[in-house]
Amino acid sequence: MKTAFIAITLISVSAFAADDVVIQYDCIPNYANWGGVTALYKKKTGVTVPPDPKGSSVAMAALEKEKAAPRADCAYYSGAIGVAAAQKGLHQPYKPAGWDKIPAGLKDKDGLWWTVHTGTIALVVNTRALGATPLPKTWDDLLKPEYKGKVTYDDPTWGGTGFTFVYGINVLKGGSATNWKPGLAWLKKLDANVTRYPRESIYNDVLRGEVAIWINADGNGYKMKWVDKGPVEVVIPKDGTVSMPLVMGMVKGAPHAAATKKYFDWLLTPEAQGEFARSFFRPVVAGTLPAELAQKFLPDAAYAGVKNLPLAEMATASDGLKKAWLGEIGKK
Amino acid sequence: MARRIRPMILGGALSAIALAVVLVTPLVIVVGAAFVPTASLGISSEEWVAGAGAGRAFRYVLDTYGHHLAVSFEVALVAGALAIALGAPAGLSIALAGRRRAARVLETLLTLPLAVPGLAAAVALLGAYPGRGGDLGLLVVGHVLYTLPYAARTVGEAARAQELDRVLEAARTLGAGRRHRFRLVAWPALRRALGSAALVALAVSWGEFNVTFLLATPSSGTFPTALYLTYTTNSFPVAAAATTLLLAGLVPLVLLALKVGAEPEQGA
Amino acid sequence: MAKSAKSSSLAPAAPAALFVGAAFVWPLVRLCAAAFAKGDEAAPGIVRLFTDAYDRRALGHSIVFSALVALASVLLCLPGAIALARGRFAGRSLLRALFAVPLSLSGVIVGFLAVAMLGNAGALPSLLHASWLRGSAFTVGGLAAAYLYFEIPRATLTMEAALAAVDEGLLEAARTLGARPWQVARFVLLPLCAPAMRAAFGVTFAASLGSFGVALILAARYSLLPVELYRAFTGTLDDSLAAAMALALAVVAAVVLMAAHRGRR
Repeated sequence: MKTAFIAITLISVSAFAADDVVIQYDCIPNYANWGGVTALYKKKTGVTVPPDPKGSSVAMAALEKEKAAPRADCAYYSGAIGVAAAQKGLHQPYKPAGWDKIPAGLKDKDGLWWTVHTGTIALVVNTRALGATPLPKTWDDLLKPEYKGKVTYDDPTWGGTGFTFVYGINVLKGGSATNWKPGLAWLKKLDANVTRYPRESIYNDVLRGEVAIWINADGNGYKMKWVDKGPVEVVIPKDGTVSMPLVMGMVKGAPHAAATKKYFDWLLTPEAQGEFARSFFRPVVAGTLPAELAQKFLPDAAYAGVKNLPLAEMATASDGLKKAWLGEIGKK
Repeated sequence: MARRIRPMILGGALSAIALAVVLVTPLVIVVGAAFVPTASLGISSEEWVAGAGAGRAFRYVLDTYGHHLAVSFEVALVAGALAIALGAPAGLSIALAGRRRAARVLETLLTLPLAVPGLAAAVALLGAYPGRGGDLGLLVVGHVLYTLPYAARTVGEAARAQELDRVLEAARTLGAGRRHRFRLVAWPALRRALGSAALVALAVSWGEFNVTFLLATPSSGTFPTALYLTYTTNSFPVAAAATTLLLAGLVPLVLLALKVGAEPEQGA
Repeated sequence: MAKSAKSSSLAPAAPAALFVGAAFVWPLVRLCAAAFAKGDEAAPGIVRLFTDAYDRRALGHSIVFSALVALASVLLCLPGAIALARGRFAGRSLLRALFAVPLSLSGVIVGFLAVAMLGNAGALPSLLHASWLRGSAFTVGGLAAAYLYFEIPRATLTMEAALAAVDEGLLEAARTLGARPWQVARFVLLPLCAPAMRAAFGVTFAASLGSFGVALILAARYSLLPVELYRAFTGTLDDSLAAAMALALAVVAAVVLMAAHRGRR
């Protein structure tokens, strides 16, 4: 009994001595396969990147709060929020190895943020939960009464994917970086059909059929369909949608700077990029998406109407738009 | 007399049994789900990490959240030790001080943390000591805040129940020195209460979530915060396996605590 | 009897008192200050908590919902508590253990249990072939059921402990004096149980009010103060509002607990 006690104490103490850790805010295991990527990295290097459920905006808020004594080494965000964090001075510049492989529009010229992979805002539909109701084909379809209680999108003040959708739909409906009226009006109409605005990952909820239509990244839907073999279809609305680069940034004052740089370097290698690709998020490095995965996406024709919105504008508008959404919809 | 009361007792007993069944059934189902391999959606990403086959769910939990387990052990041991080191002397001296005003005030002070929701206490703590969020020390402080009152109360109640003030006074008049009074009178009388306080402290710390959720970071998270991660990002079998592991630690502690007369309570 | 010359010292309690002062009392004082501070917003958090319709509703929901479910749990658990306190039947300690284990579960686990039982893929709808139960975990009814789950052990064990002192002789005396069963119940039994019921209400209300884990997992559109506090503190970084909400929770819980324990020695 005594030996067990001592053993437990020693094991737990040694767990703390381990300094080979990189803290990444927003490291959700079943989003973009961070679980697989971090497990692979641990196997290769012994460095642990612990899971963290923070959404993009929460990660940024945490970094702001911890400015004086940073706890995190890096953060992963939806593009708009990542760029906003960089604008707020929360990142330090670092250009990982393989920097040149990243296309120009998807990285900060000084290295404050860079895209690790991209997704597209789409409708992830659990057909079994949808039942007899037909698959929606356009954004406006979602406003129809037959979808009441069937639509969900993540709280845009919390996670980045939800924010990208809110900003995107505003642009699609005729708004701009400074004019949010069309988008908010449309979202207010949609609100009648929305069940809730989750603040945590609902990947499994959708897979299980707790949620019928999830407005989120297409990659999540493809993974549900092809890997988890769930009754899920991905729909890219005919009237267009927006792409979503997902970015990383190194935190200013990161406690484990050297380890973080090595980690960033590794994330752009074909090995890591291929691991992300298994979750159907398009790797930013060309040529790392295996052919057999590429053909499981919807055909290119479906992606014809995808808009690539300038991240800097999205970032500048983010604080204001989040507040406006809260006032109009979130806090009603 | 018992004749007339018995139907009421019988009805009450049946009601209690029914309620107990309602309480225990979900636990049994969840623990069962952790062991019985059922086809479940969402296990693919976990199989990528922990392989397939029997025990996959437990393997995954230990692989991914092993660090959280270690943190939980550490924090429980440290917080429990501190709770006793601070609370036991306090509880004893308050009980021995009788009806003095200062003793009443101290007693209220020490039980005050239990009157306030954990979430509010955590927010207050973070506001008062900014920049220390994620510090393991602050996490331990949060845990001690909820275990120290139990330690003080348990020891104090035991001291009062055994009229320790009278017994110690008698020992003093009979000529026993301080050390003797402690070793031969106080310690035997309070041993059980100390054991009870230790068990309650361990059980409360092991299962604590509300305070920890706000105070911890990815590297300082305890096992209950890992459970939250499994509930939101993992498949049902993995969530069930993690819950089972938590119960495996909690249930023996609670049953042992019950044996020595305590009932550990967790904030919801 | 003369008081002993060497009066017992309270010095050993000093470290504990200092700890509680530094880790609890002082932070609460700072919390008050933060709640009344303006910060970046137009008004202090404490003002906005009561003037903003949404936040006010969250506060109202929390108080009313907690009170109703607490009341329900006390009434539901009273017969069982009486039996545990006064009855002498086999298996009593087993029964008590079955209440003690759920008592030690944090709310986040209770939320998970609710989803496991009453979610869209829940066990109960499947086992009972009751499709109307599917997804009920995320309704207000499901929320109430989850709250009841953690209140039942609290109510039962609190009342059991308090009922141990009830004098059964009074019940028998009433009967001998000719009172009918319902009169005995209303005029003797219930008043005797009242302090225990009050104490149990205080404890379950305070636990419900502060319940965070359950609401985090289950609350959909039904706003509750602990979740709004979490949003304000972690999401929008509205420290003043967060402080006001935390203060509101602390004050209401403490006041109700104190009132519920009054009248007991």
